[in-house]
Amino acid sequence: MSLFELCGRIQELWVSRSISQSTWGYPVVGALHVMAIALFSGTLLIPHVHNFETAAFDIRWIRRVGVTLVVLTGTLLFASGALGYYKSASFRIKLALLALIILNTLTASRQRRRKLHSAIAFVLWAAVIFAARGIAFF
Amino acid sequence: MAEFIKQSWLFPVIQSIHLIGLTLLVGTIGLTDFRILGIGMRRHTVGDLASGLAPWTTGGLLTVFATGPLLFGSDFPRYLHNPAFVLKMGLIAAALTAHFTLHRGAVGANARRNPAKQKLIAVVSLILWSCVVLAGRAIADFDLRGA
Repeated sequence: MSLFELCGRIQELWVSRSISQSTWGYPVVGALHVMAIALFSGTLLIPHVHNFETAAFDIRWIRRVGVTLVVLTGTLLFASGALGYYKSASFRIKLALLALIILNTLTASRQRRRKLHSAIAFVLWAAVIFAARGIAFF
Repeated sequence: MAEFIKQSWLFPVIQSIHLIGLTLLVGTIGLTDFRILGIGMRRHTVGDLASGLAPWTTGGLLTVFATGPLLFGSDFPRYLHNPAFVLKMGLIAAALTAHFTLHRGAVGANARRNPAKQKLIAVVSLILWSCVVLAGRAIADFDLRGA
């Protein structure tokens, strides 16, 4: 089965159809996605803030809740229109940027080149937001 | 200028910058509220956290206030007829008023004398800012363009 066919099947799942075919499904899940991003973005910012570099460990639980909410709502949004997202170049760019963010986080050591990793993280996150907005256009 | 923003690629670009500002603003306030509620960052005091994050909060606030009016100005009659936009403006007024009065007190040095009140303010702050984001997102759902 090709990726295209897989997306077609995902789109036809009960959960996907219940979002795409209801009046409020997509707007509500979309709003929760943005709300979770806004509310929990501080947990991703904190390791880059002066004097709070070591605080990331203290907030790992809030961060996990936030990431789970964002990924869950994001997956539902994708599933509701999987074929459309499959065709969107901007969505592919967004996924690639998220992969780079994970890579950047994994390679960030505790002390060395911290500022470089922070700068890369900021640029990548900003790019993710631009790419997310771009999905509506291409 | 308004017409140019409305018709060109500039609109989604300004919208994206608006969103970046929003995540900084709400993300930093949210983190402080979580700390007040005793969730995370317990090695730092509420005051330390709030003052450490203050430049980021201010940066976010300035960004949304620089970009928001540009988006509004690009097609203001459309926004004025949008119930989600009108609601968002009311919520922003409430959230900002609460932020610069109640919330400022709740992160201040004297706040620990009344932890119940401090926590109530954190919950109100979280609810208000969440509603601002939800109403902002809903603007697109109540947009009458094309209707």
